Order: sequence, then C-alpha cells, then structure tokens
Amino acid sequence: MPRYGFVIDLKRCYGCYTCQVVCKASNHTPKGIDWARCVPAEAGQFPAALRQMIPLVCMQCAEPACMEVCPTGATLQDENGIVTVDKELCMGCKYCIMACPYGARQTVEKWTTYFPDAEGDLDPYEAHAKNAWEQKSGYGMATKCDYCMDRVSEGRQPACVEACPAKARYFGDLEDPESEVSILIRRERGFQLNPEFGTDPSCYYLPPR
Amino acid sequence: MDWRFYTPLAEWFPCPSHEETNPDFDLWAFSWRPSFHTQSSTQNNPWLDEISVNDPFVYLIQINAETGRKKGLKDRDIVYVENKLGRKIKGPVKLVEGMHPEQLGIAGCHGHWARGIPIARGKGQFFDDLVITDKEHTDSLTQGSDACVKVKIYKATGR
Repeated sequence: MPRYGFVIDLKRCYGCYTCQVVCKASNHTPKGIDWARCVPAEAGQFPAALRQMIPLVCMQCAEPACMEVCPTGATLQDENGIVTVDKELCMGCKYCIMACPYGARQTVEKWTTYFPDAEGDLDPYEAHAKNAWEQKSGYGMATKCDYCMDRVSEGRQPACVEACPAKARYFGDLEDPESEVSILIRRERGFQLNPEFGTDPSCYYLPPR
Repeated sequence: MDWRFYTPLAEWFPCPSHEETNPDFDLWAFSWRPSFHTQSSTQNNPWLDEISVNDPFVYLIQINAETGRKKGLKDRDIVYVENKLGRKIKGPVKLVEGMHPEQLGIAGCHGHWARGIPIARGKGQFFDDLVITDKEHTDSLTQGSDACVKVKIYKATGR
C-alpha cells in the first residue's frame, strides 16, 4: 500500500501564503482554523540574517501521537498512512491537540463570521462555506489536514500542492522509491521536522540552502 | 530651472533624505509590500487580514534589532515615527535581524481609515504620511516623489 507524504522545498518557498489561503478556500475552514499554515522565522544576525518561511501541514505521522491518546478510537490511520478523525466517535476531549507535537490539530466550537459588522444573514459565500464545513467536519470535534483525500481519490493533487506558485510542494508515495517525493528526499537530503519526537512524520523538507 | 537631472543617460542623484544633516533623524524609512497583498485593494480581504495579523512583520514597524536595543526599544513597544516636518505615525515596533541598522521598514498600503472597509481600518501604518511631497522632494524629470525619508523613532508615552 502507498504511504502518502509531502515534500516541501524550503529553497523555493518565498512566503506568499497561497497554501494557507487555498486550503481555507478548498476545505471551507472557519475563521482562525488553518490546516496548512506558514510560520515566518528569522535566523542568524545582521548582516548574515536569514528569513525563512516554514510551511506546516499535518505530518501524517507513521506513529501518530494523537492516535495513541485518543480515548474513543476516533483517530484512525487508513491504509495510505493518512490519519483521520471519525466525526461520530470524536467527543472533543482535545487530548490529541495536546499530544500532537506539531500543532496540527484544532477544534471549532462555533462558526465565527469574518464580517461581524455586517447586518442580517451570512453572505452567500460564507453561508456556502459554513454549510460545507458542517457537512464535512462540524463543531466540538478535533479537525486536521487530511492531505485533501477527497481530491486525491479523484486523481488530483492536494489543493496546496496544486496552487503553490513557487512549485515548492510535492505530494506522492513515500513507499515507492521511484516516486518524485522519494527521489527528492534522496537527492536533496530531505529531512523530517523534529524527528526526535519519534512519530516518523510523512512530511519531509528540503534544506533552504 | 535646474537642468542637473537632464542627463543623456539614466543616472542616480542623491535625494534630500541623503543630505539630511540633523543627527536626530537617523533612520531611512521605506515601504515594502507583503507578497500576498495587491496595491491598496486587498487589505479588506478577511483571509489576507487574518494572515497579516498572525505574521510578525506586516502590521508592525520594523527596525534592526541592535539599533532598537540602543534606543531602549523592545518588541511590541508603541512608538512614534516622525519626519522633519513633524508629521508622525504611531504603531508597535518589531526588532528584526534582516534589516539594515540605518533603515526602518513599514509594510505599504496599510493604515486605512475609511469606515467602509472595517476589516482593514486602523490596521498597520500609513507610510505615505511620512513622505514629503514638495518641489524639493519631487524629481523634475519624471515627477516621481521621493519614496525614502529620514525619520526618528521614539517610544510613545501615554495615549
């Protein structure tokens, strides 16, 4: 079976936040919820300072800490290595949020509008997003990035990979040694973020320089 | 008529900010553009505003970390940035390493005040308030305004 994974090239990422916005547009996540995030960081001192954007997604760990602590069995790992949350089983205890070392999980208590000053009902676009969110995820339960499995099952790429204007994101099968992601990891010395956490993430990064 | 600028080939001339002699105005202010904003039209987009709020640079005035420490400033201190005409803008400061010690950066096209754009209103700083638009600061050949300006920065006390 495949093990789906990401490769994010830190050389190519220039911090445009397209991944974050397209994820929100594609998955209809509410205000304050970002499954694909970008964290700008600075390293070094002037004049040798480096500003680096660190794009983050769910790491879809091979040994997920979130699954280990889930008391209801709502967190599952499918045959492709994708960690999912069963909407019916999750009781919203937030253990997984505490356990995930990468901060990939969030929870939503209620829909918060982006337009608090607007009068009347939600505008049609926000109403559509709210409806889509309630069908897919809902409130009170843990939510997370699932590498856009609905799109992948249709033979497409995850939304953030498809949209990245810098072509800094790659998606593929880590088990296949001839896949683009496996070749990139081998050729460009791809690394996992904080491997010392011991969860064996499926998201790899290519070094910035 | 000043014919100095009418050269046969494009040439660099120092603008008045390069000839400023008052040591109080020790920083060159300039504006930069976050890559996810377009001109002054996208600041009211709620998704982009959400990114701007969480980005540690966009809504803050950035100066070099060492320069800031010498001036007794720390991250998120509320400061005034003032030009030699006494026009000033106010906002939180961010000490960064990726900035020249003599420069001060402000993300451009922010600081909207129109009530019709409530998401953008009052966020970030309006850089153009600092820019001086008179004959001396305008290029006589292209009519371009000088986009850099000498400023001083100091901590805001009280309200």
